[in-house]
Amino acid sequence: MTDKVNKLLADVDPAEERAISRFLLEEAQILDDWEWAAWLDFWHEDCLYWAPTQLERLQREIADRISTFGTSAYFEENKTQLKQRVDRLLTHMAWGEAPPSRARHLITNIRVTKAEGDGVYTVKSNFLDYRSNGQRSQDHITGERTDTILRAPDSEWGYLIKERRILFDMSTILTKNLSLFY
Amino acid sequence: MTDITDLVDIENGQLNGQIFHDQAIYEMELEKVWRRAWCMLAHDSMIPKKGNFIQNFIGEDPVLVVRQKDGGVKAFLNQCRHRGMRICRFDKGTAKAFTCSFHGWSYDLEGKLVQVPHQEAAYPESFDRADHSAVAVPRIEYYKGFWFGTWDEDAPPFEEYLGSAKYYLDGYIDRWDEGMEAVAFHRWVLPNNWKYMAEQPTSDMQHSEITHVSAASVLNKASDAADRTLRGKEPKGRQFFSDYGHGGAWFGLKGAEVPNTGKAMQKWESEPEVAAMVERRLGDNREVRGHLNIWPTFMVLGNYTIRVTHPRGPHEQEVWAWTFVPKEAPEEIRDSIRKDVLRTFTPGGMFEADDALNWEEMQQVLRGKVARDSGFSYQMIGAPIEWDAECYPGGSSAHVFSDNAALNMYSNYLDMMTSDSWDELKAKRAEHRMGAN
Repeated sequence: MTDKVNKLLADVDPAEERAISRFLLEEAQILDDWEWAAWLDFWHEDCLYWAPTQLERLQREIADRISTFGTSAYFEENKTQLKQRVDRLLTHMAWGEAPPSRARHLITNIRVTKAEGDGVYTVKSNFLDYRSNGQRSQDHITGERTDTILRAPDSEWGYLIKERRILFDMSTILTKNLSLFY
Repeated sequence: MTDITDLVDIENGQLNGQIFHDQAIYEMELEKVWRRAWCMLAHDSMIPKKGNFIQNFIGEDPVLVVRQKDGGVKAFLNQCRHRGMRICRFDKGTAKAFTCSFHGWSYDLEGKLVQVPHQEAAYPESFDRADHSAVAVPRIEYYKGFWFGTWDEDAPPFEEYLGSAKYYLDGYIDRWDEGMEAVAFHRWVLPNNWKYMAEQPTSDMQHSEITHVSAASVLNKASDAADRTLRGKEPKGRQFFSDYGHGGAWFGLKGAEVPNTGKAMQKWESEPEVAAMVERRLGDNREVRGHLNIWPTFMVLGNYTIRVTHPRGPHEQEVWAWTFVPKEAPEEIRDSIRKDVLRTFTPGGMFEADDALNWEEMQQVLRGKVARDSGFSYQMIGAPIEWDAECYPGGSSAHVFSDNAALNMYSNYLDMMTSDSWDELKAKRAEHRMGAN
């Protein structure tokens, strides 16, 4: 039990890992079903939904490739601000998503690791989000998510997302907007 | 190809969709507009130290913009003179020299060719490195923190090019003793002709009521953004335009100002010493901030997204948008401005998302030949054009909703497209001053 894989597995109860993976898959389903108000139930009251930007940098400056917190970002939202985004979609006059895109969140490579504190987990996952809207407009975007997820027995889903960092793989966003949730 | 003069009817306020679609017209734009206009290359805060560089574009042409050892700025085409490879492939950084990753030709910070591998052993003696410097942007001018460049040696000086727009641009960028700095950058691609976006900050305030109704309804009361309800149902305001196609507009009248900027900016500028500074620098009537475009695509919004767009064929453009904040404002004010812009006018921004949809659909419809020829209306007068009205240099209309500045932009566009020199263009612009006769 000293090899790296077994050490990683030993840190997290298999039932917990399975539950957290299911939690993220249910979240994706809620988004693809346009249940944005219900999506807010996945989020801790004091949450951060953050997406830094990336640039093409010299190898010797590669550490500066990803923007630091408090500078460039596509999203930097707390729960109130996430709710504003949801409320905007629910006006049904947010024309970029009205009628809504047919979106499909593909969430893969889910890895749960124990973080500091009881019932606190760092969960990495990759995503490929496909979007079709209008008669024939389509795009997709990939990236990596790093979530801090808390066990929360009194919540709707039993877990809450405290923090999410979304790292899009593009340095120039090649989709016309980022009007989905990621 | 159709004669472009048949496609732009300024007198009747009609444009033909070909100018947003046709490949031959686009090629002509690269020559007649982008090779001739002044374009924003960088701001001081993007390249503060010697050797700092950014990549930017003038139209489709990539340029490297580099802070020199003497503190000046030079720019040159980012293309190796050997076989045409992009010399530098990085967005920004610090360099002592730029070495091409194809065969290793090396350029100094000015773009001079300083090293050629095997020059002594394999090149003739007549080969002179001085003949192969990177193509320099021949005219570069500094204006209040920004560096502008043009490929055209005969272009008028930048301030002459700005004309009356100088007054309005200064209203955004020259308000504070310490100036501004860029604190965030976003870059994305939109599937539409570059002129659709250019005409918006030049002239089109009215789309906001409809296009952005959803964003306004959730942000007015409960965010850092300006509260648009304070502008009223039939909002007052003013629109201006300048000879070389620039334009802009703002809400509110002198003495009855309404919010054009975000709440943090309003709060900070209402502090007595800050208000006094702005008045000392600009006089007592410079709440002229709403949106503005310096032709072709240097765009400034009252929330302080400042951007350029780069054309990418008739059907696509790239947006390069920086968020600017006043250097001397307290950190919480600066941060609020940064957040407001990222939540409204970036790819994930709640306003920007809906603009993108309009332009994409407009562009798609133009695939139809009938649609291309149907003609678009630019006939919203707003208010009669006045020239050099009190406090408002250049052409302006006492209405925030008007197509006048868009028509002026396309009038300048037509003159650029049909002129062979800046002298010819200047003469045409004097003759075609809208509403001057």
